[in-house]
Amino acid sequence: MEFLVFIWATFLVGIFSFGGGKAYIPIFQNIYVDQYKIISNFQLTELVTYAVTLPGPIAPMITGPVGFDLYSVGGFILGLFVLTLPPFLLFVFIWQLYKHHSEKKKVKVIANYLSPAIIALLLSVCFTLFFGVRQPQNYSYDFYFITIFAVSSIVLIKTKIHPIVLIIVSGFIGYFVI
Amino acid sequence: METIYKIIIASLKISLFSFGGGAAATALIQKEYIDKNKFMEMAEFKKLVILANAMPGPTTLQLTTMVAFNVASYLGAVINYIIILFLGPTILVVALAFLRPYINPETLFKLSLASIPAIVGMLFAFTWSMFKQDQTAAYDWRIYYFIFIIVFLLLFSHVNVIFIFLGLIAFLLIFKID
Repeated sequence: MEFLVFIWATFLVGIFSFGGGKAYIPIFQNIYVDQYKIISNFQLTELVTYAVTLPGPIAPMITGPVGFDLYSVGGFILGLFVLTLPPFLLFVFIWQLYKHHSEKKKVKVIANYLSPAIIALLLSVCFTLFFGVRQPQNYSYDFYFITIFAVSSIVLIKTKIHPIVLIIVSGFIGYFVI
Repeated sequence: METIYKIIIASLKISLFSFGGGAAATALIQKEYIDKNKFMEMAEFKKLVILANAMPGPTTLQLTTMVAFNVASYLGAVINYIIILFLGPTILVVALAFLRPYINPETLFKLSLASIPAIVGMLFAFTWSMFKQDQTAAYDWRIYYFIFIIVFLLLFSHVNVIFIFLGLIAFLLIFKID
């Protein structure tokens, strides 16, 4: 019975997690902690720290360890599929629907105007990431952030250097500088 | 078979280097899947980015799997889905089970603080290239206001992305803009 509760809660998190990334965290809080009491607030906070600092999609990084803790490998695998498959199938369905109607004039207009909206969305993610990692009163980190940000965006716009190289280099420099 | 091999390498890279969540990973996905391996046309990828951000579910997973499906059909999509979904959480579960006494959350946090500026730089460079390619920006300067308003809404009003997209679509349909 408890297993079904875990699966149901995971399914709910999956289909209500609009917005991606950190937008998930209040949803996990609401469903996993408050409503179904699968994990404690303390456990969630610990998992969020790992999920946000380690690379990879954030929601699976929370559901995976919870499923593994409660129901071992089965809980891990099933939890991850229940979390991601329903929204993925919905995504495929809408994408096929769009492709089917993409020649219609109204659909073209909407796609055209959503394009600047996505630019705005990505820009706002840039700001959110900056304010998310910024520490109050730590001006040397602000200086580090702005320097690395400016250098890496100019390098990436002007040259063909692979971004992974920049991520590794900045991780290396920052580890000694911060 | 060579395509499958390329998909495996690309998805491993994305899993191991996508710090900062889904939207931030878009730039890395574009570099690996579109620029380098040419799995999909940029114009189509942009539409996928819009849809993946507007729908629930992990953006990274949905984007990469659809692009993999485009070149390698079901086999490519399944392999990509499994790698992106399971690699990060598996590493985390193994680390928590065996290496817990040795993990220093401070070090992890420091590494993530050190690499986030490069991620934001990468995201900004990608946003910039999208903006330059955007046809709407070429002839209509009002687009700047439009982008500014949406960035403002996303940053300060706590309105979910999906409502902004839906509101935009409703606006376009009601006022018959084309």
